[in-house]
Amino acid sequence: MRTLPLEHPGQADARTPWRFLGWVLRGQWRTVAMGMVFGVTWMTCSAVVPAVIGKAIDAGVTGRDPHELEKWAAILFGIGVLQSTSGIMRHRFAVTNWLTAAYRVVQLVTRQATHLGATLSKRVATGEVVAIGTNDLSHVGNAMDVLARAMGSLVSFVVVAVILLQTSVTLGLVVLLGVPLLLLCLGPLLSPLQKRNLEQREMMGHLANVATDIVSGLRVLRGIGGERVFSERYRAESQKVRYAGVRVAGLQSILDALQVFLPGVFVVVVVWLGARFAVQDRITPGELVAFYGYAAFLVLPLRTATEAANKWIRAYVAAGRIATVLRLEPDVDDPADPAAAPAAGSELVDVASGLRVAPGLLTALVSDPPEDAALVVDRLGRFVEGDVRWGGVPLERLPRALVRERIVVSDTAAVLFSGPLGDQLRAGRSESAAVEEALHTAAAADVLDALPARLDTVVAEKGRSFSGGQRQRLVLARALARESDVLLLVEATSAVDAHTEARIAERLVRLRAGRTTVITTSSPLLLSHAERVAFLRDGRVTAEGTHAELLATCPAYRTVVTREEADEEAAR
Amino acid sequence: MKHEPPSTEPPADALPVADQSAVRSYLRDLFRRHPRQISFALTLHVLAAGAGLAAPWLLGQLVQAVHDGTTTAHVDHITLILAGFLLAQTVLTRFARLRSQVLGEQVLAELREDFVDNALDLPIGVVESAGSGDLLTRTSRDVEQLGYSVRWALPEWVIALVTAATTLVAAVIVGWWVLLPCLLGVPPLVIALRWYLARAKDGYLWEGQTYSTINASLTETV
Repeated sequence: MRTLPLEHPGQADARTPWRFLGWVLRGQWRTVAMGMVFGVTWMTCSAVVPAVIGKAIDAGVTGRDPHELEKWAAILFGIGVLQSTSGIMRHRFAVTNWLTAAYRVVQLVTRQATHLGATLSKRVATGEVVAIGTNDLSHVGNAMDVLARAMGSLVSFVVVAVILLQTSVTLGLVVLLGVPLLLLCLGPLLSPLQKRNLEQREMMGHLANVATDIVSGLRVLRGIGGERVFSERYRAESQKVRYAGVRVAGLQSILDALQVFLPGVFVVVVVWLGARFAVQDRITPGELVAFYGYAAFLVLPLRTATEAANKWIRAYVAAGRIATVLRLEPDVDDPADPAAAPAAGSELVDVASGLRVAPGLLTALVSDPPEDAALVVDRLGRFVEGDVRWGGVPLERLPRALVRERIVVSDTAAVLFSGPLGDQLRAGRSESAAVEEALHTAAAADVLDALPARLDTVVAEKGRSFSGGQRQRLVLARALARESDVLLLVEATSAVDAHTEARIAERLVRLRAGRTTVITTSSPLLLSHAERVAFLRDGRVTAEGTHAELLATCPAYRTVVTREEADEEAAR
Repeated sequence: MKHEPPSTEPPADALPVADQSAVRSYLRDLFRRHPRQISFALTLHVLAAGAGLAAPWLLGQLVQAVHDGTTTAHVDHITLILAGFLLAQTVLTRFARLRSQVLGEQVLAELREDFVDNALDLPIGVVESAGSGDLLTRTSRDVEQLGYSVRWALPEWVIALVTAATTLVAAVIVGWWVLLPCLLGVPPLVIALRWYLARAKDGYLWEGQTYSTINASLTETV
């Protein structure tokens, strides 16, 4: 079988839900085909059992021939063995098909989420995407899973029809025409059922949103005693899901009952016709039993057919949601004809603010109002569109991946991910020496020393197991370990004490020597270590120089920086 | 497929998984909370299964009658009875399924609400380090699995039990020797079932835990 997760989930065709499902199917056609082969063998074995029993009755029991009876019993045993073996194999392949499809979906969605970056949360609610992981992937998996049995049902139905046609044309036709007719009877029910399922699915999405909120908001809620509010909100949403579920049950139970009734009608008709034929001596008692066997057997393919239709309808709904997410395009996109990559050490210029980032130096960015600096960094890192030139090349003419690779941004929204600490520090490429150095520079070595498993320590979601200051230093170390051409840091030391900040500032200059670094800050400790300082006022660079020069020549700068100093004094 | 050896060792900070006695007492509690609804649904399922067993019995009568020689009028008569039982089985199935699904929704809602209430009372560190993936998997996927059991597995099990019991009784009525081939199938079934049950729980626990991990990564990525 195959290894999961998949090496590469592939490029999905997400134009329509059906195309998406077809694409998933093509991606695993080999295991689906194998599943079908075993599914067909398995169901056909069941289908021919009535014929064998009929023969055994007529030749062995009615004919009173023990040899014939033994022969047919042996054949029946052989069929039984073949049936169970192929049944086991069919199941194995069905599980593989389920898992392959589910993994592919979750891999695609995760990749798309990283591809979209900030765009995703603007367009789709988090719960919606998470519901793909909790719900939709099962439905796509189910659709692939059911294929083997669906094919088995189709073939065994044809086999039964052919056998019946040979015995009696009337009965054969009843089966051949009756089964599709019965399926059509179920059709009108499926679409409203799908609608109600959809309603419930939407409510489940809301519910997932509330559950996510609980984890992220619990700390705050505890502080103000708001647990009851949360509990009641969850209860209200949960009850909505329940009522939607009851609405589904109303229709679903009718469908379930029809799955008993319609094949039952079939059994009654076949038995009635068969018995009349038998009374008129047109068929033998053995054949009558066989007819009943066929009719009873056909319950299975009929059920499978409705099950398959139901699963595919659900999968269609799920695929629609998945395709919607996959179709999203990031706000910041790749250019059609990318320009050549600028050489290392090219000058980065933000036209709107007039900031020219000197190559190879550590530039500190001070701004009044403070949030303007972060906006400049967003433009420089191409998180938002803006007129930015890098070595003379407009940033939007460069492939996004190249920009992300060479210009690394670590802003206040950067969080630690759950998983082994070492994995994210190394980011799959950095040498361990670079990681050590980065941790030292970020003054995070002591954080690491306190961890029993060091780099193998598993970080809790969003690094919640660390203190604010520890988190910030680890995030800084992660950014430093990338050893990028250009490093843009936003308020990277706001949560650490002055002593540590001074150490970080000193080491940062040494580590990043010869490479371009921008750090937004208003802390004098960092500013005094920066090789250059640019002062932004209302979004424009109004003064540039060293910290000492600006203190001496620019009163507005002095006000911003000393305000910071006063705050620090007050905090102590 | 799964190449790693199935380890049921959950990550150190995941929420704990209940042991069997806790599960049993929760189930007992569940039955105690809805005794009437549960027995009503079960009775409907038993009746539906009983009605379904009329078909093979009537067929036996029919084959015997054909063998002994009979009229088409008699055939029509038995067919009508057959149709009557079918109708009864259909109606019973409808309401049995409806009742168990409605009950299932109610139990599920109670379950996830209890779960969230309990989670809200836990120390913050426990919930946060378990992460939203674990919480999401438990409130959605795990609860859904349980719902599947309440809505489908339990009724199917009851129907199977009724069918098996009735079939055995019918076999004994026909002749004690008919029981022999039936009993022949018991040892392999018991062996296979033991083999399966010994592995299934760990396997499913492992699977549930994997879903928690996947959901955690997905939530964080988003």
